[in-house]
Amino acid sequence: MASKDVAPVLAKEFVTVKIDFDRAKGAKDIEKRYIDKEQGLPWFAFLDGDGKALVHSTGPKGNTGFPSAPEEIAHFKTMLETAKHHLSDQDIAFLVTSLEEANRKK
Amino acid sequence: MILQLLPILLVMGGQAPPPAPQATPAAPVSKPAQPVRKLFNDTADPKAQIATAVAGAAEDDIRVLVVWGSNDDERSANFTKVQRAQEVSGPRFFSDEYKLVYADVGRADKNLEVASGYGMKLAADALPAFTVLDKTGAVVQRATAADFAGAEPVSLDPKKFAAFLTANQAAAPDADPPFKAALSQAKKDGKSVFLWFAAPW
Repeated sequence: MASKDVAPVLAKEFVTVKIDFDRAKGAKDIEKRYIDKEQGLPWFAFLDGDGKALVHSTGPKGNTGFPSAPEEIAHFKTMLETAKHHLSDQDIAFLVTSLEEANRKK
Repeated sequence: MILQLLPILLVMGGQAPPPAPQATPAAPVSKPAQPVRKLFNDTADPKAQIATAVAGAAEDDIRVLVVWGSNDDERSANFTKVQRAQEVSGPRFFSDEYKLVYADVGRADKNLEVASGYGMKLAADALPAFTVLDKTGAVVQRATAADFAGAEPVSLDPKKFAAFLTANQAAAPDADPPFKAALSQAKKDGKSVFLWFAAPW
């Protein structure tokens, strides 16, 4: 997310806020607003400006975490398509490809 | 194989097999030497190492521990024992609370200008020395090996070290202000919020 290529594309659509789930006071309360059961880390959600969840990283097979398996990347793509206002199809394709490449490098 | 299984069989209450015939002692096989992991990179630029660690600490709202030492210094090399000790590894100081930097200072005769920039006056007989930095790179605390002297020669006491780390770790951040700020910014810019729960590790 912080990479030079990816960060500006995500910034077209999102204001990113990273919360240290284990250390930050109130982190668990914020997560509970969006999902009942505590998830593994990382867990993420896309929200609108009023704090309403648009979609989150718990897909049909559970929390995708950092998306690496094909079905996890597919869920992330669905998330982007659900939330998009500013991202183009090319942007989404780029983000998906960057995940696939990161996975191949592992 | 039988000899290797013998203790297991005895523990399990099985009958011990008859003694195996004495084997002719085999010629010793020389094993390749295990590479020793060096803590201190003697070609790295400690300024750059510290800058990277401070950037990471800022992102995670944690602190940096700079260990000034040398691979040639026995007490510096023994720092791994402190890291592995339950008092230090249990609370996960080095995965959750501190970014760790090993800054090579030779026998207190190398990179001294970098160390002195953090107010460290290094002596060869007091390595490793330690500097805690906050997320802006400002000095929070300084210490030397003498502050953590263990019972054994050239050892560091894990209990004393854990107390030092606890006393100097960053206060737990509050999740609400950055969360609210992100929502406010997103609303203003017509964007969405990417809310990401993670951990420093």
